[in-house]
Amino acid sequence: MLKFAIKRILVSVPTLLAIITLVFFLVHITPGNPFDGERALSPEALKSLMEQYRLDLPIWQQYLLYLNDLIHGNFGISMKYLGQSINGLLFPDNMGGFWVTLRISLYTMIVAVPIGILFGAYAGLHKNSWFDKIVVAGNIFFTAVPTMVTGPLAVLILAVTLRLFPAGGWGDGDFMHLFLPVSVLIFAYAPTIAFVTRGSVIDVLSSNYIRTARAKGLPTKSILFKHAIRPTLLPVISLLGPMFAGVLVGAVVTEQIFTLPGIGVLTTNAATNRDYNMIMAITILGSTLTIIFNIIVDILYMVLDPKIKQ
Amino acid sequence: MVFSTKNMDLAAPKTKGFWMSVFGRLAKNKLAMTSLFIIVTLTLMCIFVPMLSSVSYDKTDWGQILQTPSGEHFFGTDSLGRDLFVRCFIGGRITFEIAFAAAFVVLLVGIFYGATAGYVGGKLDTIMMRLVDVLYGIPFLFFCILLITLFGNSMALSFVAIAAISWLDMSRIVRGQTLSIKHKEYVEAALISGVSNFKIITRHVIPNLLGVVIVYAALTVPNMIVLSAVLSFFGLGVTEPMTSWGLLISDGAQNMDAWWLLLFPAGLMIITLLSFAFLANGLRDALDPR
Repeated sequence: MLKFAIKRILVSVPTLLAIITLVFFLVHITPGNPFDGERALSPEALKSLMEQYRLDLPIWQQYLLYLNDLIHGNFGISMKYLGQSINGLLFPDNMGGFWVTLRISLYTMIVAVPIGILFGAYAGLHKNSWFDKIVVAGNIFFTAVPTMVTGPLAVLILAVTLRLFPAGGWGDGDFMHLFLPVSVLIFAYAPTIAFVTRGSVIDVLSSNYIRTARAKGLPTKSILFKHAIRPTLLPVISLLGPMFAGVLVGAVVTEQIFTLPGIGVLTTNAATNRDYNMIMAITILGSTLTIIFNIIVDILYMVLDPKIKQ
Repeated sequence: MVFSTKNMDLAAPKTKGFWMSVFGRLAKNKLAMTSLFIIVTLTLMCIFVPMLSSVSYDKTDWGQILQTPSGEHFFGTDSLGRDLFVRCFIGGRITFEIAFAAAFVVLLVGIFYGATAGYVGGKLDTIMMRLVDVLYGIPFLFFCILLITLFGNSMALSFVAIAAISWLDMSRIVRGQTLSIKHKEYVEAALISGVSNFKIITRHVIPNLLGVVIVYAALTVPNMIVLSAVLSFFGLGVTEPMTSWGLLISDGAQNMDAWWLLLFPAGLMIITLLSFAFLANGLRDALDPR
């Protein structure tokens, strides 16, 4: 198992390297630099800026130096807030920035996964019951309608009209401030988990080995928890890897809706001010997280899948 | 004795054409037909409402600020006194334009890329699909914002950026489909009996791809609507005084006291997205009646 884990981690290194290379050259090959435009800089000032950002070096040197920085966990200097390090902006001491986004994403996954699996399993066990119909309809609705529509509507109804929750802001990350944004995200992703679980339960229960177990006269409880549970969870687990990337992006969108001080604000500022270094950092950070989560999910899959484990 | 096929009737049995029966099944699906009707109606309204209305979408009227919905302004007015009804439909027009154009590019690139990888196979297939894997590793919204920041914030470019990162699913689906068709018994049988490659492609591969492509197109358009709307939350894409559903919702979200500013564009978007979802479902069932 350790061998599998190490192999899986090693395989993802070239993927990450390819992403970094792609993003780097995309940014640096595009004509123009971030300092032309806004206001005319004196040639001397421009020269010193170019030096500070290493833009005067040949591109392959810039690339190697950037890789070197990344290996040391350094995302470089912001092009908007001149001289400020991106690490300081992304990971501030007051636990804002990236930590806000990460907390929202993790809370969402921690609640959405068990709820989705429980609801989906119940719906699958009671196919065509009213509960099952609600799960199916909920999946259709929340797959089609994104958080950027449900979020503002939730604020309008629950925060502005009924005044149950604050309409936005972070507070100090307390329950009341987190409740709406995290709930909106849970409603966006739990239905998919439930729907996949439901399908998986229906598939597994109609499979031959479950029929054999029934024919042998095993009690239902032992069939469900001993024989059915593992194969049922497998498709759900392989869904979670790609889903985490979605939750991360969803969290950033939700931050915009609820004006939370996470990566969303940094992204908007970076996009409107052409802060290339910041956008590169956010893109690479997001990709790294996605890859790490995929590794975890793959290892979990291997642990649960009796066919791979030997 | 020489076996001759000359006198045998080899014509196919008289059945309804494949697409006729698909359409027949779709026409029986009430939910899908209602959805199709709603989509067509909304599209027509997006074309004609701004054209025929007496007020322009960007006409500000300081005497009519934040009016609640009434007979004069069906959807009320915004904080600049502009008529929300007209703005919703001009915004819908822009949203649909971006979505359909992006979806078209997505389909084109996805089909070409996937089919090439699937047909040619071998090393080229491995390299092409490896690239898709790499692009999958990048959270799409960040990549999209990166592209827009690089190439400038205009409507045309924003849809190119949207399309540039959305063809991945399509290419995977088309590749998988092409591979499986290539190895189907009926294709092998056709090959053995001497049917030309060209005929196999036109008779077997393309019709089989078409089903997947149509269903996926019906799913891609709403995805593009959502993505272009999400971008307006980040201040990218369409800019004032022109508008889009995303921009209207984003405005409404900042102006919660005037509930109509949020409710109408959000409602229109929900109706549209659900209609596309039901239509895609109906199409899938009609194309694959198992």
